[in-house]
Amino acid sequence: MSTVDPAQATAQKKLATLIGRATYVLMVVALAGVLVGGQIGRSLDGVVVVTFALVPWLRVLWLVQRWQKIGDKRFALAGMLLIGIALAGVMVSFLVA
Amino acid sequence: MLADLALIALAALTAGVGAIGGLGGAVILVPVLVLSGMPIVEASPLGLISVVAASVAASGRQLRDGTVNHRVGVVAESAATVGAIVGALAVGVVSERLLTWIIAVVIVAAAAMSGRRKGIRWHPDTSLDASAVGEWVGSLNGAYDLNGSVVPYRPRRTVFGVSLMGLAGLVTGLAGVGGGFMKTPIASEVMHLPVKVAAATSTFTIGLTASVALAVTAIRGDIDVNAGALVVLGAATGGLVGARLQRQLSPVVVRRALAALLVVISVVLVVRA
Repeated sequence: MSTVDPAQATAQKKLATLIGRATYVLMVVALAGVLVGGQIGRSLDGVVVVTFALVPWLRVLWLVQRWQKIGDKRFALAGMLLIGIALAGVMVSFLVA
Repeated sequence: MLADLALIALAALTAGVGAIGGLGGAVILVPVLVLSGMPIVEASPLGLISVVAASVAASGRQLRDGTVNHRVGVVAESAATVGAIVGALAVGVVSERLLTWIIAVVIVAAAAMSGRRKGIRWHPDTSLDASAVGEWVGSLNGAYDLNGSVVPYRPRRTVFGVSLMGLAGLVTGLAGVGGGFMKTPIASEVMHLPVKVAAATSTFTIGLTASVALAVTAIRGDIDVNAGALVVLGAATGGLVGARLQRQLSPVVVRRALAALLVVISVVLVVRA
């Protein structure tokens, strides 16, 4: 018997649309950064790279709150653990560097 | 200008091919950039940027199709990230040359497992309708859409598979490479996830790994964001196209393409060694 969370399925489609649109916007900003060049271009390019790097983790945060909301606590905990591990990794490399 | 266009095209090609198999394109992009004369310290961050951009770009399509199993991804990635951190801290324990050969052999074995298998493991269940497509609450199970039919799946050997993900993370941390080329075969051949689900889930997880690695790289030194923007343009395009192509291809074709790609990657690695 399947147990897909219908609310999550709907929310996931909205998330897909949001990520899809964000991708196109970021591509346009990246192109603008390349064409403009100089300090402004570099700033735009930096914003694009940082935003792209944040998106996967924002998605995990979104998943954790969805799973928490529907009572899927085991996986919500796993998501939080993953975020904790990643933060610890970045902290360790910061200290080592 | 020509070099910029070449970088965009190369990123698009490698990310597109990588998105089909959930491999990420960096494992091909970085060696090509190095062979073309770019120092490895500049090429590696560009590889990470290409993986993140392609992962994000592909995710829109894959989320809509319900092929990503986030629960499997989160559990597997926890193990892989721990392994990657331990590996990164233990760099130098194993010689780079030996490590490259080990990875190449593992990849060839994975390619053999993927390419040798015939048909598909999981078959359509006519009692299920489209509402069953996606990941299922409270478990690692789920279903995906195969040409209008709903195909349920149930991961096997989960503990062993997640342990191997941790080992894959260790190897990627030691070698400083993305782990998609190991994660997809482990998910598909060891945990018995359908190859499209394995590839889409791997695309999700390698985006996480690469963004952490990018943060670490940014802490350790500068990243050329101008070249990064060019890579974003190419890799995002490749990710969008690769995800669409993956949807249209049959699971058997995806698996054979994956096997062929793995062989190419192992050759690239051995040549690089």
